[in-house]
Amino acid sequence: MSTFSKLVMNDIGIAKNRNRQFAYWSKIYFFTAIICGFIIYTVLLLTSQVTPEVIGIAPAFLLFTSFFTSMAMIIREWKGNTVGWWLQLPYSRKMLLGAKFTAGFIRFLRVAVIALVISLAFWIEGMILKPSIWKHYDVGYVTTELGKMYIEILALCPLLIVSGMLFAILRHTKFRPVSPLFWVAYGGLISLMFSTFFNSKTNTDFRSTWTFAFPGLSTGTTLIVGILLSFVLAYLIFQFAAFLLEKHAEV
Amino acid sequence: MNKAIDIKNLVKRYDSKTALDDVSFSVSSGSCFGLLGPNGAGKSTAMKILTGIIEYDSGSVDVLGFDLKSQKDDIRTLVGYVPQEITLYEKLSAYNNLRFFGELYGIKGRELKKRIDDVLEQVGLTDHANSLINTFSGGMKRRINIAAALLHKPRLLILDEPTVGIDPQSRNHIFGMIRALKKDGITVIYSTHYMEEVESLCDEIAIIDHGRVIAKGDLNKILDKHAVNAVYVESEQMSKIPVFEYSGKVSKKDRGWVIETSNILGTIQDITKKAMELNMAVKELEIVRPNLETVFLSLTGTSLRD
Repeated sequence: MSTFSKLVMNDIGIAKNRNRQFAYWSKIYFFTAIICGFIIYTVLLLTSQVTPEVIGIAPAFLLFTSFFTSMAMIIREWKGNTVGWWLQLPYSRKMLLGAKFTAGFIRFLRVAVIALVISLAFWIEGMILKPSIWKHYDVGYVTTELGKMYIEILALCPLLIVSGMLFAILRHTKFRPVSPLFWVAYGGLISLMFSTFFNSKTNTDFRSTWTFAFPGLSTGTTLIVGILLSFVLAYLIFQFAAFLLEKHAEV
Repeated sequence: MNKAIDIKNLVKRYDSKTALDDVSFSVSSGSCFGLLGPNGAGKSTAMKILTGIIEYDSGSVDVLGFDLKSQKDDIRTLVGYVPQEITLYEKLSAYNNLRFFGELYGIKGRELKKRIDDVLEQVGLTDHANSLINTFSGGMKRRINIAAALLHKPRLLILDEPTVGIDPQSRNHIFGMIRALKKDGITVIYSTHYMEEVESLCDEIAIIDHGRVIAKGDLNKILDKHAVNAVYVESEQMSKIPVFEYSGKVSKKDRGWVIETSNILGTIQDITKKAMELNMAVKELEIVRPNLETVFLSLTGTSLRD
């Protein structure tokens, strides 16, 4: 296994220091939340308060997790007093952050798969309990909508992962007074993203979020432009985060 | 002797606070260098700069022939750093911790196994290789932390207050290990606020206070230059600063007085005479051996532990 993989595994937390009791309770809470979610969903479904579009919308909330997970991975180094050891490893800051980014992405994928399974379960339940309404939303619809949604989420995910990393690093530099502004910018971006997203989803032709964000361009073009923009921005933020960690980190 | 470290006019500021102010010193290759100073003096900041963990504002730092500003990655592969905090995985055994750290340093296979065995022997914990870290005492954890820093065979080992809060057995083991490393030609930088440790281990020192180096160089030369002869006297009836013939600066220490003097025997005679005249009960009367504590006291006017 390469050194980079070792760093990634350390950040994912697969290998080390798992508290068995904590892991046990985490599983209990997770499954309890799933059961509660299904009960609430079933009630809403039976009272016709939930429409099939929710299947496409729900996974979008996953994006939040990528931001907070990556932020927590950086903050953990300071809180756990491992920051000195971490920064002294004979690797560049970009490699150290690259490992955290990869770990953040893998963790996000894990959550995304769980969310996908839940979405499909919601859909199947809708088809069984309310066949008259849900019969129009067949396998083709679900595949297309979820496919589009996941492409959009995966396109934005790197941007949110590096934003989380940047925010955590910023907190440990002399620039920490800027942090509240970061929250404002982040909040603005998220609300813009979601308002765009919800608008596009409530539109009858279910155009892609990107299409709504870039009116006048075709779906394919806007998707490519959007993804490229997101990736370029993510790359620039990553470089800036590595620079801050190298030059201005306070340990 | 070659220089392992050469620091010139180093400055590091945190906002308005200057942590290191125009610090300059050099460390000879293969020596044990002591960085001595009270808490908050700037020792840890200097250590973190040397390991490339944090940046400095101005000055120049040369580590093992590499410029710290432009060749940081080269330096990191040659330096072993033991931070003040224990950095180990509590739920893993000592062996598995070392395996994990070794892998992160790019050591693999048989070489890694051999290195783990070697460092465990160096820190005297071979018999505890398979015990979980959470069953170790603070001192044993510290020794494993040092072992982790030695895995990649560093040429320079930096120890930041390694004996804080550990048992005497581990302390002695760490001392023995440092002496052995020195014999093997590894340069050791040792930061502490315990002057006895520096006196026992180090060949060269720098005394740092409020971010400034106030004395540096060969330990014996510093003692010769700055330490003063003094007599310690303790008596319940001696509540005010005593004045004796030949006496210089007098300072309070514990429950008695340290009287600097140019004539030790004369001062002792003087104290004895006065005590008999005034019928004072003298609890302690002794010659104070010149040490770094008195050097620090004479240079700053405060005790190292103040």
